[in-house]
Amino acid sequence: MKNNFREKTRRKDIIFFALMMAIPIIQLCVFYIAVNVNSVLLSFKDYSIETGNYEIVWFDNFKKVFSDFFGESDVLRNALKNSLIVSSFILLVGLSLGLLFSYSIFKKCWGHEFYKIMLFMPSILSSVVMAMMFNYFVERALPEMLNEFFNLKMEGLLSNPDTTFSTLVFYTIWVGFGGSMLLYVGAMNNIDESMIEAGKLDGTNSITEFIYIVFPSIYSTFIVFLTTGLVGIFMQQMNLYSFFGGTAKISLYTLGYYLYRQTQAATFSEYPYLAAMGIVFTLIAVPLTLGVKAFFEKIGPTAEEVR
Amino acid sequence: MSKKVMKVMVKTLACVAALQSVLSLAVACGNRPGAGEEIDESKTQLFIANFNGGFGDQWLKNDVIPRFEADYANYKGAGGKVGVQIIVDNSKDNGTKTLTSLSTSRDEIYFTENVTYYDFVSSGNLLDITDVVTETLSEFGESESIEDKMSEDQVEYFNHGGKYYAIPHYEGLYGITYDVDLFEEELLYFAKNKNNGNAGFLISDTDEKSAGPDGIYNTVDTPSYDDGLPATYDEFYSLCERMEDVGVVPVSWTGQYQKYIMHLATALQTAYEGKEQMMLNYNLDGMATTLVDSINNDGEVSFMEPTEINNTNGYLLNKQAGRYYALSFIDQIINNNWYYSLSFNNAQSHTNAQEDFLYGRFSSKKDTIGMLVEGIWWENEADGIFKDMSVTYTEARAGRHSRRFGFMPLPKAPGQELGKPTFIDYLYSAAFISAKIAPEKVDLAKDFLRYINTDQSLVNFTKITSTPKALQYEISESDAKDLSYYAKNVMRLREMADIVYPMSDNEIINTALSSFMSENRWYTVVNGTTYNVISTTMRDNKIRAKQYFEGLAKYSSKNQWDTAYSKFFNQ
Repeated sequence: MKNNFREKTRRKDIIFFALMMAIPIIQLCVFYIAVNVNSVLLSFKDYSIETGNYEIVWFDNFKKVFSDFFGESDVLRNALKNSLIVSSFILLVGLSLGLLFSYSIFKKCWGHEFYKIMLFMPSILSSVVMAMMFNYFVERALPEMLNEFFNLKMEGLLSNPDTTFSTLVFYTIWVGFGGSMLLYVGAMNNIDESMIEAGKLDGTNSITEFIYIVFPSIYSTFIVFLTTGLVGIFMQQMNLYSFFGGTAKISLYTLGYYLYRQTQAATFSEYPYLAAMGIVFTLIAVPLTLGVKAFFEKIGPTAEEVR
Repeated sequence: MSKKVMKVMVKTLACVAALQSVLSLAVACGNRPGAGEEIDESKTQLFIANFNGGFGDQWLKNDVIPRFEADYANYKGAGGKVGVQIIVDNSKDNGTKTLTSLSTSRDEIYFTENVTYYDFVSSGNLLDITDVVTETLSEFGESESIEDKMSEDQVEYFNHGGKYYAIPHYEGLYGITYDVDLFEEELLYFAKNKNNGNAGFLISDTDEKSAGPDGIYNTVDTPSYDDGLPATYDEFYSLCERMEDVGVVPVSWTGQYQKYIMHLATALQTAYEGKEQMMLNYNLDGMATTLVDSINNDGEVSFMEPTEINNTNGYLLNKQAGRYYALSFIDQIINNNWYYSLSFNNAQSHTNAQEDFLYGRFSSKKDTIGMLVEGIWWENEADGIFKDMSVTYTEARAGRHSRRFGFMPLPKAPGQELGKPTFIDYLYSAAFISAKIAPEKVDLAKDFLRYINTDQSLVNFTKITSTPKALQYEISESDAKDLSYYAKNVMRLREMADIVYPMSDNEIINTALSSFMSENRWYTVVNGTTYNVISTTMRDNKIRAKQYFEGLAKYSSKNQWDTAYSKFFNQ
């Protein structure tokens, strides 16, 4: 009888688990898998405005993507260049500073509460609100303050062509901190206290503790952000749409912005070309990301080594 | 805590998380309720999607809807319902965003912009409204149909295989608005006597004004609203210099949306090219007579032989002289710094620009601005600003119906003859009914669409928004008394002008319509680098009009045209 009861309870648990998992799985199937499968199929088609139907044109759209990339116009090449620059900054500066700030919060260094607020705030507020506030600050408030207090005449950081790109890179890195810090700090807090204590007994200071204990312990989390940063090369918009709408200067374009902007304005006939472009980006991003992930996993510390 | 209690807690939390997930889906995919509006179950509902941009929604909520609901108070709907309730869902979705949501939205009648008509029709999501458009509005006491109120170009465009699926909505003209009161106060009008020793400007307000860009002197019977305005580019530049002399900032526009300058460039090109030549850009069918062969160092243009334009050589239209003159006009404004200090500031939105333009004459903390680059809807969009100013400065001084603004017929380019203006309506605004509307509501929706296009509704639309609907209708003298000065000005100019509706059944244009829209038509290549924003390119990269113009043809080269559109060459 006891066994029957246990069997019944287990069955109920399984049913409950299946029902709970059904919702996210259905969401994944509809909003991710189906959408991407449709995108792949669309990239091989052409739309007829007369009939309202799509017809297979095989690789014509892909040819056009490559033709546009290597053709007379430098729009896409410029966008790729900017994407690489921004992603490099995010990977080098953003990741490094993210680790540094996270460690400061973990160690409760002086100013850690300030870091928490300033760096988490962009993740809490609406991205549109953040962009608006930042826009007004760098375009109006900062020049007014400099003029008022220091008698310095300054153009807005986004209007001044010499500072636009760097301001956008700064903003992109800043608003990206919140998510990574949340996970880094969480991972750091999960480090076994005894390891930290053992380190202290061995005479580690903050720096050596970070290098030999903390970083190896959160290495898997670091890999996650490294790989998502790489994937972001083709998706990174640098918040251009938030600041400039559809008319950012070409000199600022990233591939992500270009794709988004074109999709916003596209007719049905233009979707297949954009789908093909997305597929090309995916075909480059996937092996690159997997390769880099495998490389860093190989050279990084294993769980055993950490212990 | 016991294991059982923990298990129950975990299950409860999981249920809450799942519920949250489902609810977020429902919110994301569900319909937007009209703000604060409860459904009256005793009445039949009509759901309206309204693009709530500069033209707003007051023309619906304060006029058409109350009248229609009152006139249809005894309407007998399905299920024993009596009466009609119209609910407006305002949004900023338009174009393809609207198209992709048509089949799932609860909205039944749409008033929106950027309608890529052929895409919308071929999607099968638009109801056939041929009867709505072609039958006379006799039930409303009119002898015309909606089709009769449309121009020939509009009929050709919207009549798709003998059927109508949408009708024109409002008209989005673009250009320069000027402050009439300021012009009169500072004597910024040109005098009939050019050699009056005052650089051709009025010396006193009793002097006779020049004829303006149309070359016709204003009379009481033929008011043209352009007497004294700059007739040529040179006069416009003199005006800007004169404005600077009297402490007025000549021109302002939104710093955040530099596409406004691209729209101005398109308007200037249209003003030069005229209707027939400008339409070549949208029908790729006709003889181009204004293609530039070369430009000398003095900016003098020599023209190519007239060239037949068709699907194979549409790229040649980048050489239209109107483009060069438009660029040279903007070049002068930028290189002479005749613009407002915030016109390149990214935090200067279009409403900020309107506010500074309006307040400039009243506030000592703001610059006085003479002209604003905007669409004709700006006065309606600035309604809130007018109301605030009326409180501070009184309605009589600062109210929307007290202040006087004019929509400037754009001056003529060098070598161009004076004559009637030509404007372009570039918003692709249309009204239509969703094909997924319940069958029992089709007739009611069609009635509403007809109702909204009666003369009374059209006139009321203009009274409320100070803008025209994109149809032909007259405004009586008594109705004109309710219009603001700006609205009267716009309507009179519209009457005088040729309007270009950039629509055709050309497959290239309709397939890649976004590439031919105003803000995407100004890509240029200079020294191997591509630029797209006229104003910042000229200001930041020091590229002048001639270079910019020559680069247009480099960007839209024969190669690029052939690659993109060769499949349409035999059509």
